[in-house]
Amino acid sequence: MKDKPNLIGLVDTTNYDNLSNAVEQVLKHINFTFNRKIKTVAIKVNLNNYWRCSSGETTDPEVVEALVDIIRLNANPDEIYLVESDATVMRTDYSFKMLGYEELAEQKNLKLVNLGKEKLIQLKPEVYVHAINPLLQKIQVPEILTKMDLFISVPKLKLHSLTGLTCSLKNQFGCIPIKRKVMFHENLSRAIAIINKAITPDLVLVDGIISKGKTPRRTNLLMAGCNPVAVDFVAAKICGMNPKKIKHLMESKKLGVGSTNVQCIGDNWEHFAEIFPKKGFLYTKSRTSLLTLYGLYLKKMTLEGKVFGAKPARGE
Amino acid sequence: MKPIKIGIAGLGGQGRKHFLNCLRHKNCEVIAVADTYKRNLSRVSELGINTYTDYHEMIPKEKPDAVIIALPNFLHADCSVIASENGCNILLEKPFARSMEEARLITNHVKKTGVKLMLAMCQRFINGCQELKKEIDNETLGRIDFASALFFTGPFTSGKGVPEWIFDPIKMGGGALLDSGFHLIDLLLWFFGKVNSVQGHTESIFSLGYDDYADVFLRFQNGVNALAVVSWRSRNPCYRIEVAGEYSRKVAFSDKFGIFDVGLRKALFSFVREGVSQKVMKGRPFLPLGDDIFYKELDYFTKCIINDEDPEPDAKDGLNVQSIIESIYEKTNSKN
Repeated sequence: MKDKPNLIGLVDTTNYDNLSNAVEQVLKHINFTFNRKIKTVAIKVNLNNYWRCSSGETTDPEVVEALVDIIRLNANPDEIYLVESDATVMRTDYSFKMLGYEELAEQKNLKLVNLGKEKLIQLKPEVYVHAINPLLQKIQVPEILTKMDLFISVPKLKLHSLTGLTCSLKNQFGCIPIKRKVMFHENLSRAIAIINKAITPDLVLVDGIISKGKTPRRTNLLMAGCNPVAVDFVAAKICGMNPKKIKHLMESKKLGVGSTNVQCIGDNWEHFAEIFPKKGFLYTKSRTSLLTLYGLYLKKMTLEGKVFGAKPARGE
Repeated sequence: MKPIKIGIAGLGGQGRKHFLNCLRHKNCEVIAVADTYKRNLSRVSELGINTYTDYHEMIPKEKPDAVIIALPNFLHADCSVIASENGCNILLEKPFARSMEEARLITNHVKKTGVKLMLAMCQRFINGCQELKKEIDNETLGRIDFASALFFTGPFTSGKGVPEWIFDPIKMGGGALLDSGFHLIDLLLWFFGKVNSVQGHTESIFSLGYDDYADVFLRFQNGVNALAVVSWRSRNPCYRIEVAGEYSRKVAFSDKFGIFDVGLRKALFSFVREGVSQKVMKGRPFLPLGDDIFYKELDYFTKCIINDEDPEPDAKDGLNVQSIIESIYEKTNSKN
């Protein structure tokens, strides 16, 4: 028997007076209701650098603000945490400050959590078994995330040079509280699948108000779902990619994080796909090839000293 | 001729650039390097160069002919004072200092000890800017009414790691205006001479306690009006100098491989990591393409030392720029 399809809600924010109404509607589309008994909520934002949300790289604080308003209205938990961890080139404490989250936390009485400073726990044995090499076995998870009553991921919709797509599954990669995450890049797909298996968000709200493809572009999209694999499946379609070619998506599916059986509700995903600034095949390939060729040329010329009439070394 | 013995204080982004250029310059010999990051030092020590974790130790012990100071802003004054007291000529990275007080301290020490201090104003060595300077001096553009200078880049532009001290407004001493604006104001003063009046405006959206955008309007004694705009917000670096005269108009762009070559620098440093020795580097060009402004800057500095000439821009020029920046910060009350 076929699984029940995962509901994915899509709304065009321009059809609503304010973002809170748009968030409320997109949650209605997926029949998401807040349990009034929840005491703690964690919201994982995507702050991979010090670039503002208008660059299409980081989560818009206004989307988080609207989400917080809806949570308070429907559940009123004791604590709402905004969580993120340091990345290779980004320090969370500074990006919270620079990108407007410190101000938001003050206004809305939220707690900012740098996951890198939290207590860590080992992966559960059923997850650890998938860590196929010693590097992946180093993955630990912040204990605070395992204790939350509700865990919401608010990723940005964008493309990524290594993974192709960055959305909810890749946003979870930021839950690994290791600064030099670049160390996982060789096994990135598996690392993403493992962290998603270890901590699966209860709700995903994708910030696609300004999305980033070839360039940033206002796409006015809010997308929600309760299954990160399903959400990324639709996100890939919007970005003009074949979901089957996105390795971390397929790895996560294989590990049982979720399924790709989806049913879209609300505005048509094809409308957003039309306006998303896709990267052309030639653009990606030619850029990579040119950079590789230039790197090789540079190395050869430098070591051989064949240009600009290089002088022999002193003493030669 | 004996090569100039060079000590390098600071092996961050800019320090590495100077280091690599010294390696390939025939008149330079790097004798010591000081940096707090031991991983950088271990790479350098493989080349047989003495390494130190503190420039306070390196300068008096090694007594190099010249010290290249590529340290964080808050160490510029301290290191310059030590270098000048030890009789070392100085190539000082921008900004000159964090404040007028520090700038005066450096200037007084340099004057007292008689060493040469050159500010590393690399933009003066951009081909386009040098051509512009010639045209302005030769008056081939006609009477100049207006000039504009845009420089949109900063520590957050490249998406690479940002050192911790950048986030500390005290250690920085100022933001985009002090750091990037120093270049443009220096360039405009170099082009047009003395300033009659200054107006400026700064903004901060990053909430870091200093400005991340600034625009400055300068009215020069020779009648030229000039606008300089700097921003650290842009993800896409931009550099453009335009001079409009009554006869014609000229624009200078930065060569992409001259200023914005962060990725290339990283690649180049990997040659050192791969064990290419100093001897092999000597006389070899690093950038087969592009306007190698930092090399030209070093070349000019070494020539000034060898020929016993005063380099430009010197501490006095630095004081002029610093005073303009300080006056804008005072008016806008935006510093720190």
